[in-house]
Amino acid sequence: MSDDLCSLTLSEAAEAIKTKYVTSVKLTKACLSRIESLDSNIKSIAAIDPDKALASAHEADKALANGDAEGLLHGVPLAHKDMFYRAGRISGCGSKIRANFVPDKTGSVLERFDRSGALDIARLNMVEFALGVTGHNKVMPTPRNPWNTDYITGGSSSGSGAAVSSRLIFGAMGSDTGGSIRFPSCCNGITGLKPTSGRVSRFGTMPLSASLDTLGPMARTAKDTAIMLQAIAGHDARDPTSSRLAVPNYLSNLGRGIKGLRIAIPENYFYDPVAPEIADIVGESLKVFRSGGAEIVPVVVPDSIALTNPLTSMIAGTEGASIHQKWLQQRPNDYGTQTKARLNKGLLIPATRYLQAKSMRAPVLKEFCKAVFDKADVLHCPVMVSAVPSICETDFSAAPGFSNLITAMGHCTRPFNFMGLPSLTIPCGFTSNGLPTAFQIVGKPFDESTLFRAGHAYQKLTDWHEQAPNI
Amino acid sequence: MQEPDPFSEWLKTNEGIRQTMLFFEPTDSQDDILDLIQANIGMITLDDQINAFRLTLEDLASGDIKNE
Repeated sequence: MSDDLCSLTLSEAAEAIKTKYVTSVKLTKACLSRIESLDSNIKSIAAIDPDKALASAHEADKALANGDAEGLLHGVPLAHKDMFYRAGRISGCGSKIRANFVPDKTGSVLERFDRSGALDIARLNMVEFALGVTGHNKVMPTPRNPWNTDYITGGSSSGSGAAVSSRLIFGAMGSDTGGSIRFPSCCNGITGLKPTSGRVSRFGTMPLSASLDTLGPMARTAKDTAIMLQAIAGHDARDPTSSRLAVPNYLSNLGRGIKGLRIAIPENYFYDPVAPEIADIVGESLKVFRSGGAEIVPVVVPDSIALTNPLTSMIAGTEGASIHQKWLQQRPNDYGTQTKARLNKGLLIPATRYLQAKSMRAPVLKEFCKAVFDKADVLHCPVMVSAVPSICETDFSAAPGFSNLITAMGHCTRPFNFMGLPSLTIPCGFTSNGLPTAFQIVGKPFDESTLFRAGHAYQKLTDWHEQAPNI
Repeated sequence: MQEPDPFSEWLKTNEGIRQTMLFFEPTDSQDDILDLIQANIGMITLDDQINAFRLTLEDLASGDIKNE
């Protein structure tokens, strides 16, 4: 029975609590029991306090009984990447350096989830300081892919991907600077949203790159991620870079279907290095969209797209190095070798190159929007260029080749960090090694609604998102 | 009277320029470098830069979204 409860999606769990089909305590106990029995293999949990989790579940049930439960996520157990600050609780950021860091403030995302009634039952493992695409962590535990524990989870929101996929929790937050929500969503067969830059406040999270960092939900379905974004989106005075644009009702648009939706498929750049197996699986998903009434529109993306991968790396490296400079000098041996190598590289980037990279964001964005969104409502493309690799074959640390691996993996993801555009990752099948793969749908700035609508329609017509790893 | 700006003064010295030039392309002129650095240090914060890009994103959002 408890495993049955864990197989509910986030939206089903929220509805089950609201209609008193199940209590928050019962759901939380089911999650705790599953974590207890499975996470020793998956290694997604950085820390958990079962007594505290159950106490907050009791509070949620009491509030519901008193008619004081208006939140979208009332009583639903969530857990988040260990870089979201909660006052008085350690936030280790996957590192030795911050292993004992206790923030004195709670971040805006967690505050908003608290207001929505969600429970925050654990801290999730992650790549050291969110700087890594494979999920490896040399100083803290490396989470394992629940589909096959010899394979990578993808990073940097590695624990978030593995925990949601394993049905240990109903949803998790991740962060995405170059693909860190989309890789683990793709590798673990779940749905993940990288929102538009400025849509979600970053106040109270460990930064990597102020220009590129975005925070977004990871869950089983597009509907689940829409509910989570609804709870956290919007301007926040404590993050002056957050947008004041109104937050739409993401759920009211979900059931509109995709008849007449114009989906752009890129004729250049995105598929250049993509393995045939991935191109075939991702291509199959277009047939589903067509069958639902969408119109497929081939587009040529501007040549400037090729610059976005290396420029994203340059900006993230420079800004990351500026944050870490003091620790790099004072505690160099407390970093994993790859993290240190990448951050040290950032110290050597000339100011001119950094500023030039930053100044190219707006023109590249405008050019891309004109080429794609004048003709279509969304763009459809792969997330990863190859099948999910094993932990062993990608264990480069700082050896020659690590930089090539990162650049290759970021081919389809980094452009949308550089341009600040929203992107939803949707599982769409399995490669010959038995691991999941996915496509991403990319939208106009702040048009997450259309992404949820397209993702929800696809998931109504397919069952890839319902497949669960046999663990 | 305006206080002297030590950073600008340092940039004007030969040694300061020499050290700074190590990080720039040989084709960048000294005036360009000074303009670039002075335009971006102490006058424009990182948040300002991010906000300028956010405004571009907001400009490109569809009318429907702006009017929600």
